[in-house]
Amino acid sequence: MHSGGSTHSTNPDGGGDDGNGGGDCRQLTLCLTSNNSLPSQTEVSSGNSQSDDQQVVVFDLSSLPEGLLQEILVRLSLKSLFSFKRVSSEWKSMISSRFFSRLYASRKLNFRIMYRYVYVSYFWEIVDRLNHESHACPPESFSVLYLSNTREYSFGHQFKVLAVSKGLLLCCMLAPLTYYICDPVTKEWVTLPRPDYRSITRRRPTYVGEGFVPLANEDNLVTSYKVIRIEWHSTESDDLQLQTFYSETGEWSDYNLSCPQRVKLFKCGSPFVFNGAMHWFAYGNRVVAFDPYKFEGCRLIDLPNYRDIESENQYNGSYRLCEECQGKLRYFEAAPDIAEYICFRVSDEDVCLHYCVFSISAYGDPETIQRNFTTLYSGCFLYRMRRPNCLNRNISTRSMRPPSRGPLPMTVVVFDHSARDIVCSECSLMLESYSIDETSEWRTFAPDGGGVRSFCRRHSVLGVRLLTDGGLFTVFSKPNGVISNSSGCVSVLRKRRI
Amino acid sequence: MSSSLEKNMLILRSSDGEEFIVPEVVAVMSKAIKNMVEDECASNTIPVPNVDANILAMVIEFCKKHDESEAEAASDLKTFDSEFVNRGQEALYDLITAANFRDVKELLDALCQNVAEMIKGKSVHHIRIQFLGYQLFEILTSNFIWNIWCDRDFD
Repeated sequence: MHSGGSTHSTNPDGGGDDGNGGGDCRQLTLCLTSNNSLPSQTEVSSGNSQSDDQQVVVFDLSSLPEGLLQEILVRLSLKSLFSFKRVSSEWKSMISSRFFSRLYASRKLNFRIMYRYVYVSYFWEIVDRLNHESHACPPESFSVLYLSNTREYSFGHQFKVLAVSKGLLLCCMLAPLTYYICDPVTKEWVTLPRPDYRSITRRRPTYVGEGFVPLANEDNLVTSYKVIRIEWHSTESDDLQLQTFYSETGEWSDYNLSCPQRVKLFKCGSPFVFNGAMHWFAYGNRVVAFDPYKFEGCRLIDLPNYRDIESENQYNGSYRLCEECQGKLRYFEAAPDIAEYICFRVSDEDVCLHYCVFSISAYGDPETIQRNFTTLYSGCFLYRMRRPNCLNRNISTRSMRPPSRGPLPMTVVVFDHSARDIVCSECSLMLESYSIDETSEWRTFAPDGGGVRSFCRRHSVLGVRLLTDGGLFTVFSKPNGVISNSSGCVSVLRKRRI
Repeated sequence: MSSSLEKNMLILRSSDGEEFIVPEVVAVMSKAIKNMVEDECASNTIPVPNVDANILAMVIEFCKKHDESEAEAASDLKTFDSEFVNRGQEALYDLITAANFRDVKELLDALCQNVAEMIKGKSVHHIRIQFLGYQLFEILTSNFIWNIWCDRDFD
């Protein structure tokens, strides 16, 4: 039963939907596109196929030694690599090999994983895909434990990714609650010890807002990290209880954080890491900032007040996504008029999404911080949903559900900064090409209609096909898992609630 | 040859017997030759098997340019690299294996980048025919179904 969603209550194959995600995943491409961008894509691809008829060997790669071929392939973008897996079985096994992905990761330090959402019914499915070949050399500065075997985790039921930072993931499994730090490129896992509860007699507190702050050295290698979670109170309080895990000590510790004012945190939505500090959203249009390495107490930062505060309060912060990218704070929120469903209406209709980029100058100065939020770009643009036509079943009302109906679909998106591509790492589907991450480019778009349109045109989505197996990186879903692009990030906020 | 010249010069002999006199600083840009020099297992003449005179001349030219222009602007070097790679288009295969075999990092970088740019953005079909020498009928027979599946668009 879809609560409240009368316009979307039609569920064509509802008989198969048991409502708990029991094995049924759907693929869905959420595309940022506009009508006029599509023909140009088609032209390009048809042009290629015509030139295929030339039977001229330009350069014979087949006789090159494998090492040389790898040297060449490692210079390609992720998008090309993914598609070149189809060239031959040799190429496929080479590109998929662990050695190659390490080589690639070591050369291209400028890509990182932005968001990762997982939607699988059973944890062992993930473990099955990740735990083999986990014998790589761990970084020296912290110990790495591997998932031992499938059986151990076969009774877990739900798996969530809580935070992503510097290419590492913080995931958790419910029942029993266990946290993991995972490097999806090298497939290394660290299982965090279970945190102690302070008192058995007391009712167990609810912890929300898990996040972690990694420290990286100059080579961009993470040397240590701190995982932080915060106890949630239903009332305002000026005393926040934190639990932090430090990788150097390997222990959880409690920390009482006193706030200058009484705050109440949002229960939904994950914190974001900016400038080495954790930031939690709180009611009253502000964030609580705390640097776990300094322990200087926390700071309250007011957010720009042109945000949609009312619907944020109404929906408990669910429609919001905030993330640092290239030194800027990027902020998504879904427009309230489409908010009858939890994220977007999944149909062929357009969906409206507000998007802001904040730039904070002089972050360190608490006096000026409020005035230093400048909006580089804000506006709202249209997302259009598209489905790959390999799925002939109507998925529109199935894969996106109200929050009470179990997990939302998630997938991994790799953001290749050098090529400005966003690639789904499960299936190598190109989600966005020419995605904007250049500062100058942000500023060229006026937030009026024309700017938005050209913005959309630049974001046309390439119809690169799906591969049947996993990408260069981790596979975190069933082969027919659900794919959404970065706009689907809004939906993931729902998942981060315990 | 004066003794001071001899001290800093090395003679490289290509596979077809031609000899090149190069300064040692240039020759040691090849890691393989550098190792030989450091281990003092090389006499004055270093044989470079598997590399013929033409290719060796090109490699030496490349190394010389890179050695000289260390102080120069990087953009100059870049234009030289691209010109060099363009000239070496016919001998690309020999050059790339020579660079790999002799372990000349800069040359290998430039050449691999060149090849990567050649195959970048090409369709899979294209790669198979133009770079792997697949014949059309091979593709049609052995991989027919797979191809249809692969090359389908989602539109």
